[in-house]
Amino acid sequence: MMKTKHYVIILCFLLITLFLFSLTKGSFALSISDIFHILLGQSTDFMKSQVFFNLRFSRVMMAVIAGLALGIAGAVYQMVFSNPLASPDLTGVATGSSLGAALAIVLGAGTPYEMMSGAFVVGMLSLGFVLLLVKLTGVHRTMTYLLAGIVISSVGDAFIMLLKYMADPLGELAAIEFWTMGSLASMTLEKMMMSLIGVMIPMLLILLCHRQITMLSLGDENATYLGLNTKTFKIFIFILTTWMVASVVALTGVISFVGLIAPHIAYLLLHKRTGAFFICSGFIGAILILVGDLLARCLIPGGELPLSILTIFLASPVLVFYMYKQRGKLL
Amino acid sequence: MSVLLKVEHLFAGYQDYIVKDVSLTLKAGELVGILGRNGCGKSTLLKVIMGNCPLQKGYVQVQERNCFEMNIKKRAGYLSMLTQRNNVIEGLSVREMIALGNYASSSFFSFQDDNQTITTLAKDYHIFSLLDQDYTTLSEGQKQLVQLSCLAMQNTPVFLLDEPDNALDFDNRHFIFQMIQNSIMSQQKAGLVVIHDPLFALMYCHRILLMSEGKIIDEIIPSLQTSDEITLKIQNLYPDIIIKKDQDLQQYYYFMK
Repeated sequence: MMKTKHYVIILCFLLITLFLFSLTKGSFALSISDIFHILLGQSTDFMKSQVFFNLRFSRVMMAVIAGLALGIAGAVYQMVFSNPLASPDLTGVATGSSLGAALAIVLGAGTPYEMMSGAFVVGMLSLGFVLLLVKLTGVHRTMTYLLAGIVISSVGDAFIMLLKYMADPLGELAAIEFWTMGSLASMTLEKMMMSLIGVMIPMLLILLCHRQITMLSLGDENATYLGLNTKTFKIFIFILTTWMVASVVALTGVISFVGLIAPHIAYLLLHKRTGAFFICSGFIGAILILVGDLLARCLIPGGELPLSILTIFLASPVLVFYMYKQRGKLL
Repeated sequence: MSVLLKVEHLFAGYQDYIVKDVSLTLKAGELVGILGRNGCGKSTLLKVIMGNCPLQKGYVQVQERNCFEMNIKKRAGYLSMLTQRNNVIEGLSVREMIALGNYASSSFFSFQDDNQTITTLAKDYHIFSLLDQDYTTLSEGQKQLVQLSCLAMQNTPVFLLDEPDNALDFDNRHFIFQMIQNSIMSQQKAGLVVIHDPLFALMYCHRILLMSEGKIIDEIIPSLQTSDEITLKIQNLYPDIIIKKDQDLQQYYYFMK
């Protein structure tokens, strides 16, 4: 019991430290005292406060929001599918969402709001297709979900490629390319605020429903007998998670692997998948993306690496470690 | 004795009826067994009563209230069921598993883990030392005890059990049935249990319903019937069985022809 509480505090502390550290780093360095002055409105350096509010703060905040959203969504997927390999990446939602955003770009609807709606609708559609495929095969097993997810993700990827092929090579192509690798580079205060609102509402609802999500992990039949209206509630949870993922993916592009790996790290630390597991998974997701983004900005001076490269490099060893721990057990 | 569960002319199934015209009643303090061969519709019958299978005709009442007209949460306050849970993800402790039993009686915002009840139940079911263990690490017998405590937590007047002795060793099977019998007798509840072993049914159930091809074909009341009468009835299901009763020990045993 105490242990869980300790982990929450440690993760929270780590997150805040990294957040503050991230604020100071970048091609334009800001010191902690600079930031204090800016926040207190005492700064006379217009340049510094511009950098802080328009670039640094929105970007770092977005990293936290994206990490929280993907980490929590991943944790919820694991529970709802009762399967540690379920994640927004593998169930087709992430690909679907980026397809939606890409579609919005090609159709000429480039405002963040329109892209978010596109990401939400296509993300929901791909999840729907995955569930339909599983239903058609009639086999509710891990493998079926993963296969269906891979199929739908591939179809989504194919459509994205098609869109790239048709896209105007000067403007749209670059914009779409940006989605498939994930980046926080073009974040602005306005976009960040939109995403914040888009993520916070479903996230709070999800955290309030953590008990019901735990019940879903027992399977539809058992959860029904315990008194949960599983059909309605599952759809509700799918809408909330897709909304959350779409609000992030529409602005940052696909940030690979965080949704899969954050809950695994959370489980390795806490040894449980209930209660604090969800928020811890979110914290870990945020820490992963903060570190990834920090490296993306700082590894190449003056340059910018796509975020997914770094999250994959950070996350792969964890997945390998998990597989090693699971050796001898059937997945 | 008051009637707790009343099932009337139940027909259910998908294309063909799997459950055909089943009527039964359970009274307070009664444990009723269902015996039948594989695929005769026993488990489906339990699912239908729980409202989890397409119903064609008939109704189910608990304490004179129609269960199919209730919403799912309310129904879970009247009827509960023990199923085979073999697909639980790692990361749920025994305590959390038992606590889920009180979902039906808690409201959305004022939920709290009732630790005292959980502790008492865990002691009753001999799983107190396991409370903080991960559910998936338990043995089958321990898992079944956790499920029973979860059922006790849900605390419904009627509960259904689908092969509660499945995968248990000899000792544990008796222990499980004793626990079930105790909770029914002491709290005047009613239980309907699907059983495979005729001896266990004769030993622990007040009445036994024999089921074949979706219908209830006969009824055995062990306390009122001789072993010859019982043999004749059970032979409708298992033609080669001969049931005997040891008059000194008041226990049943069987031969195969």
